[in-house]
Amino acid sequence: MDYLYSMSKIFFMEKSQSNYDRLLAAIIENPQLVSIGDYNPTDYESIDEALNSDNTVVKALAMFILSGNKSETQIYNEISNFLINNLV
Amino acid sequence: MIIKKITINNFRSYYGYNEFELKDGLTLIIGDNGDGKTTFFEALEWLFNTSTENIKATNISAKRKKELGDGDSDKVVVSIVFQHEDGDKIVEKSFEFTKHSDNIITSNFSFKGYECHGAERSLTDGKNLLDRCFDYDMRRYCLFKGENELNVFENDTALKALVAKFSDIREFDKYVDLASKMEEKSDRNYKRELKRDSKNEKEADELDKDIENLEDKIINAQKDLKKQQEVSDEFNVRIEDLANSEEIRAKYKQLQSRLTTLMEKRTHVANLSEINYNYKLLDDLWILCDFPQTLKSFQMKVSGANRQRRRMNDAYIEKRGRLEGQQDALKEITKNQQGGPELDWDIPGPQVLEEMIQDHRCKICGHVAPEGSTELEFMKQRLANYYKHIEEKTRKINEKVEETEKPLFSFNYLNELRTISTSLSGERQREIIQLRNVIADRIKFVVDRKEELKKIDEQIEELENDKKNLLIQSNLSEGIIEKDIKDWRGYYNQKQRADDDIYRLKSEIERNKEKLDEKEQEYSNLKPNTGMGKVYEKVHRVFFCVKKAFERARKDNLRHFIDKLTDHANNYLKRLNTGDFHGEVCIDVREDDRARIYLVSNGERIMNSNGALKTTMYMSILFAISDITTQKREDDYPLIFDAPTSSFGEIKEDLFYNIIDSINKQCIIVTKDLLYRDPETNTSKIQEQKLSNLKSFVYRIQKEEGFDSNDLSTISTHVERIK
Repeated sequence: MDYLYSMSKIFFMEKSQSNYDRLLAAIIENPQLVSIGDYNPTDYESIDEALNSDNTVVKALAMFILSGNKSETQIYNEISNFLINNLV
Repeated sequence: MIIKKITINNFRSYYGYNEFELKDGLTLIIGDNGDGKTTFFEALEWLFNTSTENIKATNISAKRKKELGDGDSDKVVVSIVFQHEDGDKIVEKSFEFTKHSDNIITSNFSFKGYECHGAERSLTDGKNLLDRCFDYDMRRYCLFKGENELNVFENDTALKALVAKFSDIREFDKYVDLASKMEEKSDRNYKRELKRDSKNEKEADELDKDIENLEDKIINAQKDLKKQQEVSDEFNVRIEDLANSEEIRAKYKQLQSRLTTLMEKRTHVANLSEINYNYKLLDDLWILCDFPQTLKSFQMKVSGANRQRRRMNDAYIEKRGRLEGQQDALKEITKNQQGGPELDWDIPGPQVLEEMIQDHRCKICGHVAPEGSTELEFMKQRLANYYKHIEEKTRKINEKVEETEKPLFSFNYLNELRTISTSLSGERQREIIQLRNVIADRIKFVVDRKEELKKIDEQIEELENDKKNLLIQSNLSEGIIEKDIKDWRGYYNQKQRADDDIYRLKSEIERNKEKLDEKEQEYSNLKPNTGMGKVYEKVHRVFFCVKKAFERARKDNLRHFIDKLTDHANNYLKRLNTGDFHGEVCIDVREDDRARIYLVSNGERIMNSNGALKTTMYMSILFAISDITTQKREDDYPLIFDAPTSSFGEIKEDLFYNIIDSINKQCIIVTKDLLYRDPETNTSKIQEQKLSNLKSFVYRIQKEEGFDSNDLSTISTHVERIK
């Protein structure tokens, strides 16, 4: 229910939020991600906060969201290498 | 965006400058056929179409073109003034036209925009201004011509576009795809690393095969599912098409059934009204219908003949008696010659004469008659004549007696005739007299049947006319309707089969996905023994979770949008069908994100919803989209409909306009509803009573009087605000 509630929040998000923030909000509370990343989703309300996080999963998620116009291989290599180096 | 004013200048029938002031709510533009309703709608379509210029001369008022002198110019202009965010804006589309030697040359297309700031206004690009204030994607939910265009989800990409517009998360699909590809790459890398460990290699290979096998099954099932959904859609469209004409088909079936019954009755009555005179005259003895008269005449003749016979017989007997008397008298005379009685004194008998001859003396006068004297010769002559006469008379009498001795009636014909006469009278005669009544009854029956036949023929003709009118009104041929009636059941069965297959395939896909998850789980349970293997496993797990999180978020996002849209739509559906059955709107989202709208009642799909209900369903979706736009963007846009209520009955129409009038949404409806034909003047007039119930602005558009029905250049639309 909490998760669905958060989804409904996405739908009527603040207009000031960027598309990246909204994407993050749509994903960050996913129970599997929370479980694997062991983080508190309420700590991350913006993509900047996620990118600056010490949590590897949250930061990788932010990198993925901010991947922009890079090629798939570039994105994969960057995130994959980051995870390989930082996952404990 | 609220449109405050529309101006149309020299656009087709809108000759010169024409202005419509609008309100934030319902505005009705009422006109009869050919009065310029569709032209109004198309003028707005032309204005809102930012992709083409379209400065064809056919868009210019024919009346204005004709008025122009050689070298003269004028402009076609369509513009709107609308309120948007911080102030009023104007977009104006125009082009010039010039007459050169009876040819019209169009030029100088212009699409201007103005932003008003108080009393000042700044010029800008009209296309950009329009796209900014009322973007292209939303404009397709704004203009609707007729009832057939109302279903926005006919367009397979509509739902995706709407979700993209309203979810606030752009490029969601792109991220879902990207996350999926990342997961695939990490999965390949992890598995490659896993297989480097000989302990896991065999098990990983088997799992790979199983996974590959399951993936193939899922892909094939998805292909089949897509195919079956297309089949289901196709038959659904056909069924929907047929449902549109359901009312016509029902009426046709009713007419046809009545016609068949009447035709059968006609055949039956026609058979009854026919008489086989050969059979009746000869076999049923109708030929004898006049026999009683003939018989009577015959009997009278026989009776007359009998009387005549008797009379003849009596005369015969009398005649014979007379002859016999004469014969007897002659015999007596002859006998007297040999000593019979004397003749009278003045007739001396033959004996006296013979004596006088012998005596040469007349005993009567006493004169002497010597030999050779005249007196003696006279007496001799007289005696000779006497004997000659007696002889002649005797001969004649004998002849007559001989004749009378023959039988008077030598044949028995008259008796035979009497026997026939007797045999034909009595019971036989009564039967034949009765025959006359039978014939009269039968002929009366036939006359009645012919009268009945006439009435049946009149009814058949009426029904045939009804059928012709129905076919003309529906624009369908009899063959097509007959075919539709036959196809209906077939389509329904085929759709049902496709739907069953869809259900089966969906279940199959779900099962195989679960199996796939289990296999993936088994894979993840394979613990790599190398250090890097363990790292790759963790990396893959993160990518896997990211992919799943995006997929789920996207799905929930879509579901949430659909639920919201459905809630709003059902709210409108209920209002638009107040006091009537309406069911509930259901939006079915397919695997490929295509959406289909239909009505349900108690969870069951309503297959044959009537045209008006379907129209209100599609309108409800449009109002719901508009609501969501308002909520999401703090902005609104008008809904413009051209003749959306053609399937509505009069009561439904009234209700519809009253409800639309009370909805807080700008609607412009171009229609010929609320008009009626005045039989006295044979002109269309507004139903004032109905109009008085509405709060809306109402414009009446109609052709200026005095036009020539064969000359387009005499046509111009007169615009008048009547409320």
